[in-house]
Amino acid sequence: MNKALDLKLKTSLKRRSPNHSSARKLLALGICALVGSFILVIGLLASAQTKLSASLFSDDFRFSEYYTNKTQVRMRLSGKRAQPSGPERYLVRELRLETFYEDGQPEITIETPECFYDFAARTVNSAGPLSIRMGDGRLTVTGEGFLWQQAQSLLIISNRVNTKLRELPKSNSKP
Amino acid sequence: MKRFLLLTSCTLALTWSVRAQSPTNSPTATPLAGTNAAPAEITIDSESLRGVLTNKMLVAVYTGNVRVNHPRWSLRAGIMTTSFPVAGKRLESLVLESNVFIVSLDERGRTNTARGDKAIYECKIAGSMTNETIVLIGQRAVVETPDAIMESDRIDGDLRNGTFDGGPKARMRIKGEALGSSTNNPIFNPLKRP
Repeated sequence: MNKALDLKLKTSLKRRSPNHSSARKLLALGICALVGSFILVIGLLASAQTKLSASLFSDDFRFSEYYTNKTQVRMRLSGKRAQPSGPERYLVRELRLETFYEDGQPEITIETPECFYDFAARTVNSAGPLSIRMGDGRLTVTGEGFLWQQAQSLLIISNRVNTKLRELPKSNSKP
Repeated sequence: MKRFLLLTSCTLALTWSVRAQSPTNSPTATPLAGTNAAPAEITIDSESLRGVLTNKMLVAVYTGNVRVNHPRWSLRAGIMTTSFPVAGKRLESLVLESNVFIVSLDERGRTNTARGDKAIYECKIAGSMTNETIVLIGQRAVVETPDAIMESDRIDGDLRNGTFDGGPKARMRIKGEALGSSTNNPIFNPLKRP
């Protein structure tokens, strides 16, 4: 039995040429490099995902988007908690979304107890209630069921819309 | 025709705001701008809203049973389109469509109404002057005061001066009690020809 095994090993060793063996080495090295780079990429992605998730899963999280000058906040998203609900989609509790003009003045503030935030599409939507405050707070809007598209600055409220507009005080009454 | 137009505008002016050269007393002189010392609140209720934020304005389209309430006036319509200034400015325009109904109270607490298929309100401020106009359009646009009724397919109202022009198709009905009371008015007296 042992003899038979020795014979097989010898014949297999004899068949290997020097060229064949170097090619195999190169192939093995290539595979190792590929696997290594793949693991590196996965690691980087995972760490990025962990950072994003960690910031969102923490209580009282905050996420900001800046204008191109990178100093002025364009959009600020904050909330109590977020759970993943699909690729780049999160179920956010007690969301507060604020947008600002380039001069730093508030543009719109949206508050809702629960909604879905889609990072890829940059949309917020919910079937629940929401309240909106515009600029200086003279205009407030409440309703149920909404979609906010950040890219188009478009807001759709589906039900029970109530708007309150406080009139400006008489201009000549000011000192 | 000219006299008719004059009659029309004068009669309506009589009831809507001839007296009120000072706009603070007139309900129709600046109904949306809010001339009271204490700023009032306008509430808008509707089934749905579609709004776009652009150039520091919220362009909003309200649809479904739209109701607008103010202490001195109210509106009802199927659709309302408006532009809200985000900060520091007044409401400049309202476009009401589908079964428009407007109610306002005059300084004596009397009810004035307007109906039509469509109404366009505009408020333009040029220097120290505020021009407020309303255009009622429809198969039967109607403006009714306690003293008179005007019907036409288009009625142009100047809310600052309190005049309404029904154009060539205008039909006017002056209520009986209004004629009696109007004779005491120094500005318009239909029984005395100049």
